[in-house]
Amino acid sequence: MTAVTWIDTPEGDPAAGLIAALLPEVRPMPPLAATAPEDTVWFPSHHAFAARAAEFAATPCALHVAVRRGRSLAADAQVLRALADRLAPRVTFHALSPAAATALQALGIDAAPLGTAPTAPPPSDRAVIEPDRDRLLHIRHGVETPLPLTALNWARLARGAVLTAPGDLEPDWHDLAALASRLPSPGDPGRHLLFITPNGVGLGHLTRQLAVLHAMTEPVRATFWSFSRAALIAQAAGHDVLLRHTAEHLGADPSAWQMRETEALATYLRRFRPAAIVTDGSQVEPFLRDAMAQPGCHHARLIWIRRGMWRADADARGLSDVRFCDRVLIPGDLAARADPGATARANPFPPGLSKTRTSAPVVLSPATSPLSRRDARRALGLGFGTGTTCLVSLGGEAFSRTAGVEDRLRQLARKARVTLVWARSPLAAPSDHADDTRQIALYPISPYLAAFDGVISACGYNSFHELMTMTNRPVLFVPTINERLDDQGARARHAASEGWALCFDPEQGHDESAVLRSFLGSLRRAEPVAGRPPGNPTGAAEMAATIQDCIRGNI
Amino acid sequence: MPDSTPAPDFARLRRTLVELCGRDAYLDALLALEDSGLAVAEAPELWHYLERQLTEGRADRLARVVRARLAEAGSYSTQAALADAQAALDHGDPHRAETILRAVFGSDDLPPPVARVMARALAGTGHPEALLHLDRLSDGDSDMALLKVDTLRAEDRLLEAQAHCELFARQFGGDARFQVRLARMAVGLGRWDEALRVWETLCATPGFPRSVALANRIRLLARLERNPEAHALTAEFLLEGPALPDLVTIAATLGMTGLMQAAIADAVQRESRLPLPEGDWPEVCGQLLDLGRLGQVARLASQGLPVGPAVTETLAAARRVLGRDNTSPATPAEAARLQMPDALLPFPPFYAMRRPALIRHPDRARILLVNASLGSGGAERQFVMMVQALLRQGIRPDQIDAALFSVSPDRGRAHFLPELQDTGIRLHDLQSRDGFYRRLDPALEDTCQLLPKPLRGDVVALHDLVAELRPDILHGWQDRAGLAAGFVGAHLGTGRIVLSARNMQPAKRDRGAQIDDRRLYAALCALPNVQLTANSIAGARDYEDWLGLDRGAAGVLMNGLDTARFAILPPRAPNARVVRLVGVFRFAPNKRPLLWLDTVRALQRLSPYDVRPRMVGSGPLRDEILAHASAIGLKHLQIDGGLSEPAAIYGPADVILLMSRVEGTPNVLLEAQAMGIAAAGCDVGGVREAMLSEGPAAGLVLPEDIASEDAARLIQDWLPTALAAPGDARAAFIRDTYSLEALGSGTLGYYGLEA
Amino acid sequence: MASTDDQDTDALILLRQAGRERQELGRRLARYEFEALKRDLSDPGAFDLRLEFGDVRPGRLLLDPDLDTAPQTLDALPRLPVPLGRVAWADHPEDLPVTGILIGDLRPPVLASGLLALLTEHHQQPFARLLFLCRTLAPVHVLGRYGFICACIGDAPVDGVGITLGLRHGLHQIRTLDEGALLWSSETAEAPHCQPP
Repeated sequence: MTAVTWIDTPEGDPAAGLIAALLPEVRPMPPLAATAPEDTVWFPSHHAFAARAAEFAATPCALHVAVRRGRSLAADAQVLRALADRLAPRVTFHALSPAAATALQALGIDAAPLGTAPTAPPPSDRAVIEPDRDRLLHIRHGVETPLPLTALNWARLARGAVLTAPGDLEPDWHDLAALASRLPSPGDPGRHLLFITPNGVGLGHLTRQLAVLHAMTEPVRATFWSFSRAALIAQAAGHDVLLRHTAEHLGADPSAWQMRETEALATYLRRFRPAAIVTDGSQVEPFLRDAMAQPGCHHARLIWIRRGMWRADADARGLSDVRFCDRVLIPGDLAARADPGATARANPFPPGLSKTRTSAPVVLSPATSPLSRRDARRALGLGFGTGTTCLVSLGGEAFSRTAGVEDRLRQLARKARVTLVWARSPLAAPSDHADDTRQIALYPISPYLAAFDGVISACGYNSFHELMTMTNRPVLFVPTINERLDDQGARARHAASEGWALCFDPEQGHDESAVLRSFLGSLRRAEPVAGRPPGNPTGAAEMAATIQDCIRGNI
Repeated sequence: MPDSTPAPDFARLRRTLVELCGRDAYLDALLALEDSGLAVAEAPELWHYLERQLTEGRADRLARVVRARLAEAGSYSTQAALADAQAALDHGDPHRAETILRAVFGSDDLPPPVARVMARALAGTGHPEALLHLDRLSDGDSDMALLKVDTLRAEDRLLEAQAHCELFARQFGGDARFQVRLARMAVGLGRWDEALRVWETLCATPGFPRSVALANRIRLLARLERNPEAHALTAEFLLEGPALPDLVTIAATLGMTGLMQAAIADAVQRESRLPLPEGDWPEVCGQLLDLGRLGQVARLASQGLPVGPAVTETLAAARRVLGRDNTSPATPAEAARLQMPDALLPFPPFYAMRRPALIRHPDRARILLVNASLGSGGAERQFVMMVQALLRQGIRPDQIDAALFSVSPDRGRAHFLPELQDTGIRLHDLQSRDGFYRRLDPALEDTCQLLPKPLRGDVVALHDLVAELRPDILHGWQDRAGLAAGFVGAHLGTGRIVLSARNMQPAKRDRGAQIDDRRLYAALCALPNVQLTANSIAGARDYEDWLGLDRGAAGVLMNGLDTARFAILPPRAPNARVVRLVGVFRFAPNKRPLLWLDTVRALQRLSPYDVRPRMVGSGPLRDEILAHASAIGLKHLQIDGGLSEPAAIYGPADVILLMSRVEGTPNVLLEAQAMGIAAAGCDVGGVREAMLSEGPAAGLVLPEDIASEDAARLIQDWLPTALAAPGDARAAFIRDTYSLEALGSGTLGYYGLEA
Repeated sequence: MASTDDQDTDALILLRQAGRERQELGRRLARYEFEALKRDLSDPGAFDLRLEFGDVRPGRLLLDPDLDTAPQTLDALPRLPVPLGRVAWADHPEDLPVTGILIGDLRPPVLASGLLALLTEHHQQPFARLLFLCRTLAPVHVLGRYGFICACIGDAPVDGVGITLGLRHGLHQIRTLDEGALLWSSETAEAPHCQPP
């Protein structure tokens, strides 16, 4: 049986994270520990050791106890000496700092200070400990960001900031700050990246992550922590995957789920130590933050890919999560000028640890080159005799307000003698359309765009940018109206105003039949659309370079 | 029309009841009997059977329901009555138990099982008949014997209880419960070493929970300030894996709040897999509320722990008083900040305005004085002095009431009771005053629930009296009584409130994990009708520093001495070699008796004088003093106690020596100097002020922290001049500075009354 | 007293009616989903995914981190439920035990027929809440459409999987897909090292 090093993790005590950074490998000690004789147990606080003394008296494992300088230290020291006498020689006392070691020596406790004196120049950022306000004040170039006191692993924080305790704080806070400066320098972080892909049948987040990953110029090992059936796509793309389930999938109580997910991710981070975690979403998920705050999970950098074009009425509080990240990468949006929401403006929340970069638009470059019209049609089974074709890729939402609109589209397409080809996610169930409906379910679809004379599409980030940069065929955007955050309408209207595409927007009073009829009619004229933005946007490569820089430690 | 309902099958129904009760499916059994449609009169045996099963199965609520049905149907058996009475006792309702038993069995010639329950019911209500029953039942019945002891204890008849308990302990040898009672009573009687011995025995008693015995030893040692021993035992205690409530008690006693928090956090984490025994969480939460840790309790409740109905009600009161948002801490740090009484402060603005006009004329003022007890301490003596001083100023006895939290003679809290009774003022023993919830308004009742101990009980007890008497002046004596008096007076809008501190600030006295009174004190002092006084200039400045008050905000009320009682001793013979050195103090750690002994021994070695030491007093360290004196070879030591006359206490003495660690204004130095005796003492509190500072008769001020050898040398250097100086100057100093007249007029000044 | 009884009875009748309607609606939805599932599984390409990434070799399916976590740690965390799946209806699905169905690396037709047989039975008379233990990701997207949960266990041994998922989901048994053979049971399994000292 392999010996385990356990560490007690008292709630709200940053010492556990600091001490774990000194140890090669740790596991958090569960409430009812069943340790083996060869195990080692660390107590970041002597109070917890004293409270559980009876439990550990019965086991022969080695006990390491950090003695903290509190108000009852004189009394504590006497009790600890007596306990150590009874449990000798298994108990070793430690001090959090040289000053603490001196104070403990005076009380008859032999405790060496943890860590070693720093040799590298200190970081330029500062983090001031303010326990009476439950926070740390992170300061970079005069910009202050309040951080919840124990929301971050202090060992991770110490990588980029000097922790300081104001003079009037109790000695223990000074000791913690001192220990934070005595941690070993992080070694080579490696080239392992963990991508967190949130829930959904949709593939937007995954597509962006794959785009960035495939643009890396140095070899990396990528693992996808995927809540979506999109895990299959990530695996097919050549990357390792972990299939996860959301609370909704399980029908679980959200707080119970969050505890489990935090523990699972923390276990993974401790074991595999990815150099960076890349998350794409509208916030940094609480389980991710909580997991990174756990002892032994301080190694990774946190990179947030945060798309813009949030709806004007969207709750912007998620933007405050930047303070927990090392980098915030904003994929450029061709419709950025029309961004109506909080993401168009400077982030009102302070940056904390993060630096923000906006790149050019991010588009997935497929593994295969775009096919010619003929090859694409053949590959899709469209063949000759299909005539004018139109790809329809709407998701489930667009016409949901009006029953029978799909039928209307089919009617109008029949009249216009346009063959509709319905695209669905390969992960979604086949729809129960009429037997004569053509469907394709493949990913990615962009190599086949030349097969179509036009496209009717929702206006999510990926669809929009692929269509605007990878084809010159007419496009009708039908923005999804039930999106919580993404303002597809603004994107679509911008494309229309630029002359890049048409836009059907019922909120603007558009007549559905007229718009569809006009669009379908235009397809037969086979006129390419001029003036669209140039192809091959470089956003993915830019993001990839930033990530690679970040994990190398280049600030 | 023939009734088509089939007749119930008794046999099948009985089999169903047996089967369901066998599976503990009591509710199903009751429903089955209900559904059968059979009333009690139709099937009494089935209903009685069910009642017996429910009672034996401890399904108490259902059993009561069935018994009520039986009673309604006139089928209430004596068995059922007894079970109901027992259930009432189990639910803390001895009155109901008594009522049931009297109704069914009468009051006399009760069968033994009934008599036992009746005895418990009567003991629970403090009924005088309880002991009559117990006297008969306790012979041969250890439970009844124990109840008899506990009943006597509840009536504060400790000496009687102890005597009976010793008999029962011999009679029921092996029943550790009597030993436990003996130990607790020894504490109540101030016999600490005796209590320690009993607990040491219980520590080694097989079958007795060692952690409980250790915990009690630790608490006693802590009270005796024998801290190294207490801490060594704490390690043993922890290694026994004590119950959480016991651990919390010890941690609070020793001021080890980190240990307390860690143990509670650990128990919370384990609860889902290893729940605490029923009742432990309510007890722990009660302890935390006693310490004022409201936030921590609120957080435990929000984490779904079974905190019990009493704590739940307290939290509901907290929400009413403080608002829901302020009583829902989300993090441990927020929870730690929600403390009582601090969360109630500052007082509402109207507290500063709501008071009647001051009474200016002395002969119309009604004064209520408040103190904890009338034990044999200097502060209690001064309490009596102050009453005498007020009377000398022309205040009539009928204008003065005195409220004491306890005057239990057995517990040594009535030492000055006869003297105070002699003054003719009205005395109120708050401990024996009942019905004090009558006048508590709902808002204050809610607030009181939230207060820590002992403030909670003190405020509730005092409020009723103050609301009844409506004094013009409320004067609290010492910190505990002062805070309670201040709190009550502020709430009821008493015209004038005086808080008399008697020592240095509480923070300088080791109080374990007790609450920090600073904010409450400061909030009271901020009210315009509140005056803080101390009994020395040093004490006044110390309190001002502690509370952040301006210089001069705290008044000074010097101790008062009836100097007529202290006749100057005849002068020494000019070349007398013998020096009679007296120490008059409680034999407690803060008086540093061992340092006193060591100093005197050192003096004996280096001084050409023949130093004859004498200690006058009593206290928990008496045995230790004797042992130490013997160990260091101290010659001629005499120890006296139980004296009350000054001549007996101080005479004949040449020098009084006081080496306390903490003092207010030590009466003994005043009294001794009033008799002309030369005084020496360590510079703590008001000691320096209490001594004549100039001239040959001046006292000797020793450094606060001094080794015995150094102290002896300083004393020796001072002795020749001090012994040669006549005592008149000392007596005059005391007369001028510490007269009753000065105390009385000063007090009236602080009352706002014209002298 | 009589009027209160009448009101109580009326309320009871209404509640019972609402409950019956809810049951009927639930059963209808389950039938609809089951029909869709049947169509899905009847398609020869049910498990095929047209994912075009050139010649790149597929990545690995990594083990659930909980399989690497000490049982004591798992035991300290709250249990997570397993849903019934949308093809079945039960009044109190939470009362049904959680049963793991081990799916190996099967050929698609075998997989489809095995799932169809199992889920037909599940639709007609739900007997458990099914947790699919998959050695590969192949069945995930199909099962996920119908609200089933898949735990990807790679080639982890069944015993360890049983203990871990027992602590996480209250898993009682693990059975094979084809014949329902019992592979693991919580009643006969060795207790994990998570009892208090």
